[in-house]
Amino acid sequence: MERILVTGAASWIGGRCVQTLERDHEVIAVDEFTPRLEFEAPFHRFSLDSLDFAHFLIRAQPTTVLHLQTLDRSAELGSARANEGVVLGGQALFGAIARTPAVRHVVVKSDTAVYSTGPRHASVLDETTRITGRATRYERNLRDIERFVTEVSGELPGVDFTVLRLASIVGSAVGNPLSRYLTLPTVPVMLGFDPRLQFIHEDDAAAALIYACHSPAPGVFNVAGDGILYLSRVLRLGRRIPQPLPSPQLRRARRLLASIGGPRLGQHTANLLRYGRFTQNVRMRTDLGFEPARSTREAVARMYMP
Amino acid sequence: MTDRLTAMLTGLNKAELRNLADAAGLSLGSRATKADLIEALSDHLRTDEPTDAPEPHGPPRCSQRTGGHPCGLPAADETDRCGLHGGFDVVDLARPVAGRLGFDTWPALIRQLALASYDTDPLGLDPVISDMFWRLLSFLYLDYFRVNVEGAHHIPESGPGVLVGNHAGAALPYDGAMLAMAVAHEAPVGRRVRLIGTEIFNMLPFVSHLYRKTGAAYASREDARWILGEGHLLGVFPEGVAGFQKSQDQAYKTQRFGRGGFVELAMHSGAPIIPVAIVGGEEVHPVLFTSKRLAQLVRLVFPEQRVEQMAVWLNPIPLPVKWHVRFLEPIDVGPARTTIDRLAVLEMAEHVREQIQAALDDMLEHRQGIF
Repeated sequence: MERILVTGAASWIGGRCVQTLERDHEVIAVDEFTPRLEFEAPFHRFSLDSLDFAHFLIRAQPTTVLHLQTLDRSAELGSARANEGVVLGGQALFGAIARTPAVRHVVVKSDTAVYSTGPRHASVLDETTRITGRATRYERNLRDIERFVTEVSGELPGVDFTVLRLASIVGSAVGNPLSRYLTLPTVPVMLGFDPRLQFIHEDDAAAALIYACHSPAPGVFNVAGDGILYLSRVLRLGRRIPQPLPSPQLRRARRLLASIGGPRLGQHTANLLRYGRFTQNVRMRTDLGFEPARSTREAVARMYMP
Repeated sequence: MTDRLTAMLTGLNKAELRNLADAAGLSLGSRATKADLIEALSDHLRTDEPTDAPEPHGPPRCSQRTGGHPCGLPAADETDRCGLHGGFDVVDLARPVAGRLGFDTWPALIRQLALASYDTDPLGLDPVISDMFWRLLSFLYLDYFRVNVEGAHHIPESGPGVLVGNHAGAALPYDGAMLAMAVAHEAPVGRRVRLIGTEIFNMLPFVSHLYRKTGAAYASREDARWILGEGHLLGVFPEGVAGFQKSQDQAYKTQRFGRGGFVELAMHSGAPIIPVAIVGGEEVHPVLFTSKRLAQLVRLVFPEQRVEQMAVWLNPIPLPVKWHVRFLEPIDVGPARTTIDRLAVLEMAEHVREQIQAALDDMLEHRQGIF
């Protein structure tokens, strides 16, 4: 029986984590939006970058902190506000953790986007790969948050910090921009580019975070389904028609799509859909001990046929 | 077994093959390519072997089903499965999954492609797409450039190896393709050479994914380590752009071998280094002059490229030069280790460069004409 504080509980992943964790633990859910899923745990509405939240955390004395509010929320908030909130929120959170002696274990949701992507990126990335190169705003935020974790974990030897770099989450329920984009009836893609993509199913993403809360394994782990799929193959599996467009027209098409209520892709996702990325998930099995239920291919199949 | 037969036939030149075919009473048109001759002869030689039961419907097909239909691709020897369904290791062996059947298996290939029924490896090797290039590259290799290969027995039959070649040419990296085809066609065990190239390949439309699907990767430490760690053959041209864009008077003069990254990789994985001397690449697109201005333009688009000069050439169609590829004695770098002696790396790189240069000089001396 632990007391677990979950930030970002309003998102679908956050809701799933709270629903599962509250069966065995005392859960405190925090977010600044109305939760998408229903759960019984007490919900507190805080903006993470406010000092109120930091003081609340110190008073609540949790033993485990599950930090999920590192998601890309630019779709909901507009990019400037969302990005500032993530980094400031992280700063406030880790500051408060340093002042809360009860905390034993911190799990942070990161993203393989932290490696960023581009023509000069290695095709096979692992946790030891030095993270360099130009990054979009979201990717810079993730790097900042991971830097906070390294700094704070050096200062607090008694606390285990687990960072999970989740691959692109897809599924029929999670409703993130990438999943919505890939399930459009016809998908605009960049002419002449066919990126290698790696996914994790929404259920596996939630399961990995819950698993990490239960079994403290300090360190950074890539969490991804096995295998890769080219974008063209993803669309073929989903029987979607690709719509190849040159770069400027593609940008215009995506803007148009967003303006009529379609998914709004962040710059990091747009880059991913041009250059692709593959991360090795060996340490996820050997050191963390987590086994995803679905491979990349199965996750995609599940997204199209829930 | 069939591979050795094919490899043996590939080693002969076209005139010899034609004599053999005439002696065997095979009637092939005068337009038959070397690939056709090899195919007809190996079929003929194999049907001479006594078989217990005749095959009524051609060679055995794969027993697996995809998307509710029979797979339709030929099964590998001694199994009932094709390469895509685990009949042989498609990632390591350079054996076309469509076998030598040719165009009658294209519908099956296209169906596999459309259904996305098979997996690609992390670097993105797509066995079906690379099969579709197999015919074109085989034509270039056997009939157009008529590549003559020496020392193919030096290529390891299994396990990792680093093939180091001299870079040449100005338009397209034909030498990489010919190196890969030489290993695929003539080695005791035809294997895939996983070539690594600069980021320009990642940036160009269409090239960006096709080069990956045919098994190549980006020239980075991580990619190369993955290739060697999985026990595949790595193909590198350490001279890089410096070897690719040089004036005609520099032809077959090896440039500096980078920073010896390939030696470090070999030492890390304990893989042998096999130097390869390639003659022919420099005359395919004869260089008229080199331009520093053009290089400046290229650097504007690809700022990280260390390109000093760009070669200017005229012929849009590559000249049908006769190529020679010589695989040299493998160099054992000792067991895999983590600490690397930096000076030893540079010495080894220089040693490899000298060996390749010596082989090149020898081959050029004995070459009878360019074509």
